Amino acid sequence: MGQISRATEFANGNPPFADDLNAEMNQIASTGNNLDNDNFVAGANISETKFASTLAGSGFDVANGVLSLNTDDASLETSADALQVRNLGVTAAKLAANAVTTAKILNANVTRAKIATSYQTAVTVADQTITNTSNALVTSLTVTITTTGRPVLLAIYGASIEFSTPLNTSATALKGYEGSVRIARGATNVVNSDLVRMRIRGVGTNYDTQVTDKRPFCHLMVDAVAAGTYTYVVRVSANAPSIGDSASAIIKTGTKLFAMEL
Amino acid sequence: MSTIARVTNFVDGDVLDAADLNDEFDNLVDNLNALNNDNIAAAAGIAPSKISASIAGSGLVKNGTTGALEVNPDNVTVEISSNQIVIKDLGITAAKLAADAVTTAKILDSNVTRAKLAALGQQQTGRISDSETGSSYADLTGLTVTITTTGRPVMVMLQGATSGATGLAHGSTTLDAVETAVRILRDATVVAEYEMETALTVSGATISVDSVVIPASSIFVIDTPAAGTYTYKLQGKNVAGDALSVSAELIAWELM
Repeated sequence: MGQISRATEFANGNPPFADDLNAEMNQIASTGNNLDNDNFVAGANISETKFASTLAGSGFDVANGVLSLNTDDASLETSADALQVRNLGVTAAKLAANAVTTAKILNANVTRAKIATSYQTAVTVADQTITNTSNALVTSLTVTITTTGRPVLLAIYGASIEFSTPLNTSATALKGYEGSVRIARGATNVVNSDLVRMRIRGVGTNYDTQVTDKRPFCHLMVDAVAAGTYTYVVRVSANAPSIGDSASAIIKTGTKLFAMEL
Repeated sequence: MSTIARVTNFVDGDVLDAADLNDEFDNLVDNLNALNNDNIAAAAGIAPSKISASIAGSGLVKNGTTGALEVNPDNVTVEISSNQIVIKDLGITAAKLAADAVTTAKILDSNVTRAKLAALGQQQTGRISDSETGSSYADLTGLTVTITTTGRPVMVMLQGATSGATGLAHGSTTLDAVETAVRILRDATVVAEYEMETALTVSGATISVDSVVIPASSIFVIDTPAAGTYTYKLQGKNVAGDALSVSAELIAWELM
């Protein structure tokens, strides 16, 4: 259907035949029953109230015939007649996994509080003495940490360690002590032998010796290890440099072992 | 245009004049060809199916069955839920986030886990053993690392190794006092310097400080240079004694 035109132009002296009138009326009736776009004027301005409310499909609201976007007003909203993401509307649930890449984070905005902690500590609760012993396990100084594959900082600190030898009144040659500190990851030495030593040498003459060497028990170590769960322990050696001599070490109460994934 | 009005009201006895008929039909035809809102009944209830699909502009689609206009979400970033347009869960990907959009307040405390952090980028030598006998500072060969930083503090330290004895040792088979020193340099700048001196006083005997060893990790520094690429190294000297001996690894990393 389109625009219609007259079927018959009537003229005076030519009385209208029934067919002519019927043709004209039928055409008008038929058009009236089959109006289409061509029958509406360019600026027809059909108002919203003339449409069925079922025109509003999913995502729309309709009120008094007016269609409007139906947002949740939580993640999306309309403002100034525009659809937009609502302020604070993008919650964690809306973020895809791995959506926040480096470029999305404002520099200097990952503060310490945002970083998950990842450390373990252990502390000695009593003095522990070892004498003429290699790689003695330090009681209570054991930590277990699960890592993601970043290096692990290991630290011993918090108290002193005291090496000593008894009085020797007829000393010759080498006297003193030889100590070492080992941190082991399971059965693997992380620090094989971080040496601690005080050794003196007498030349030719008997002399009296007695060594007492108290020093901070402070050690640092970075263990570059694959992701996993690891148990770290501390072992201490205290030996004399000469056969028949003696040396001891006292690991003081309050010595700590700290393990943190960097 | 408004509602259609008759031109002539015919009454019984009138002679049908051609002009009247023509005017009447012309009026009807003209109006039917130029309908507007006034010609549609107030409660017309024009069904959506009667409306052209071209009414659906960007972001809209006309339902092929009901004719209703519907929002056309991508169902990836936005979707229809309970007849509402919503951002879809997990719909905001990296591509949708503006640069620097994530500020401190947007990050839940303790939610940046180690796995989310960029690699530490530590620079580390293997176990190096070297000694110095001269009284002037000289490089301990091999104990040098180069690191590129973003401007945060840099931890530089000696540490033990997984095998072999490690530490810093000095001593003498003849002297009762020994003295050595080490220093850490950032390029040509000294950032830490440590002296080690041990002396014994004994009467009635000849005695020497044969050997004193301290742990490798006793030597460290936290340096605070601007962002850049730096080479750190260890130097040592032997002031009094047989030698300064170092057996250790040198490691440097930028603190988080």
